Amino acid sequence: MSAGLPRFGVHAGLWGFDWTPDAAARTIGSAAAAGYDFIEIPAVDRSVHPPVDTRRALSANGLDAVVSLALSFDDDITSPDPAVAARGEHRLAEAVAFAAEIGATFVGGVVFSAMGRYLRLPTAADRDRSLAAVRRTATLAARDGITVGVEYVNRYESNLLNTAAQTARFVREIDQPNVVVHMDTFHASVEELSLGDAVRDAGPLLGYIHASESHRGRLGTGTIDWRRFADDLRAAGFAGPVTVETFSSAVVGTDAAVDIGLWRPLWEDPSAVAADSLQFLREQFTPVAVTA
Amino acid sequence: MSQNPLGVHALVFAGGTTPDEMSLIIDQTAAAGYDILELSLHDSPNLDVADARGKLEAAGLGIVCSRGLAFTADVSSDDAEVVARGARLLHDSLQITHDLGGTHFTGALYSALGKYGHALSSAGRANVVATLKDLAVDAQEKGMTLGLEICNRYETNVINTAADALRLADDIGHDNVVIHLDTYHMNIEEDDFSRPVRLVGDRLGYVHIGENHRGFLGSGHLDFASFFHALADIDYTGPVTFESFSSAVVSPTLSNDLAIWRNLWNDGPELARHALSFMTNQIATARAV
Repeated sequence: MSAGLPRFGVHAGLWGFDWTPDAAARTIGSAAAAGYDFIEIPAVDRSVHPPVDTRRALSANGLDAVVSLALSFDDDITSPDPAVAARGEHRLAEAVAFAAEIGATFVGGVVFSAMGRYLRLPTAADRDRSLAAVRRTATLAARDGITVGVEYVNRYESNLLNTAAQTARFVREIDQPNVVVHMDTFHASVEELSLGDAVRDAGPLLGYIHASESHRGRLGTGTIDWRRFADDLRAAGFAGPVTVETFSSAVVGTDAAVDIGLWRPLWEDPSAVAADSLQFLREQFTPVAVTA
Repeated sequence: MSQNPLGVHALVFAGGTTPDEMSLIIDQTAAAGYDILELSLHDSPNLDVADARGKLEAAGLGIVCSRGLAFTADVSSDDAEVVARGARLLHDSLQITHDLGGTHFTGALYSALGKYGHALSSAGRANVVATLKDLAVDAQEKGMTLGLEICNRYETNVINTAADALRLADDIGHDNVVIHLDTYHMNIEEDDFSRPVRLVGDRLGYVHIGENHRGFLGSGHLDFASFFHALADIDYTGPVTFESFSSAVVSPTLSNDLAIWRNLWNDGPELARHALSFMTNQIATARAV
């Protein structure tokens, strides 16, 4: 890690969402080879994919990990249907357990509602149910020293939290020290006045960043002003972590592509994109020396 | 003075299109100083076409109609009945536009306005092409133009980029089918705000100006200078229409279709006046340099 730069991670989904022991070892090895400090791993079903395999691969590659998940309409903690909400809270608890078993200290993502296309405004009761469930999850997570990140997403992926200001309010209401705002630049680019405004709205609650291009492709090929964003983060005293998130339909498989509306391939070679993205972010986050 | 006719989307003023709502929309569009009203046809059963046409003519306003289709009436479907329902909706909407005195009918004419649960199939795309060929012929006979509005990935799986739209227009193969760029959607899908304009070039026929969050122009982060410079470079003289949505103005159907969950403004007329001034200045400065 270079002095003054945040810790950089990469989302495992660059290489796809398959998590058999072989695929996990390959993906973790690829992330390490690309030079990252850590990898973000989508929470998997522990009964299907024993966490020990993931833990072993991380250890063999000297890589740290964080865990993420996104709830669905079938396990949505905002739902008035108690069975649906209970499934959601169980998934959150399982993600925390998976994180603990692989030695991760962060669980982030769309932990507060389904990640999906809602067709109505949320009610106050929806929001209250979400607050209560995330608060209980945070209490659980605290026992394992795990922080919970609340990742706000664009209007098409949740009706509840679309901005840093909304999310900061939500996190303050949860009122647990191990809950932070998780910001994703792709979503923020749709919803915020600017990325800098979002960083300031989150303030000291900002805890985790997804560095994702305006179209979710290779970093630097879209409209996000990365150098200005790096300056905004530095001014806010945010030291990381920052995780590269980019997906291509050429890699992720049909279900995942449909889930996130990836209708065209944005790149072909995940390892090349991972290495290029890290180099790009290091350049963008390196302060320019100004001489008088 | 702008060389482009400037328009505003009716949902800045009212959610529906009943005669009372149309009176309000038309009065406020004219009062704000626009040349054109863009009317979404999502509420057309409540629209009194002859009454609205009279009010538009009295106000001296041009009219453009827009719409997206629905999953039950979708010309990109594999199901012939669903395609047929979509085609009927398109021909009916074209007729309404004509009866209102309009010459431009645009929008997501090629698919439902919504998040698809599957990728576009080749049969579905062939249905889009065949349906829009017929619609283009119908439009040609009426002296009308069709716009293919390029929408983001959450609103369609048919065309998300200018390159996609040009391929579709090529396959439709009629000169009265033009490309419709929208800066809000471009922010999600394109690499920047100038290359798509140059790529489309003289096939650009309609423009939506929307901020990245669909609120006040200039309050977000879109690079409008680059976009308007590119419009000037290709010498675009067609309509430029402001589009913005807030939970303050609700359509029971369209607000949910567009995922409008937040209150980005309360005062539509103030927003519209501001947008006209913003666009006029951008167009003038882009042509001055």
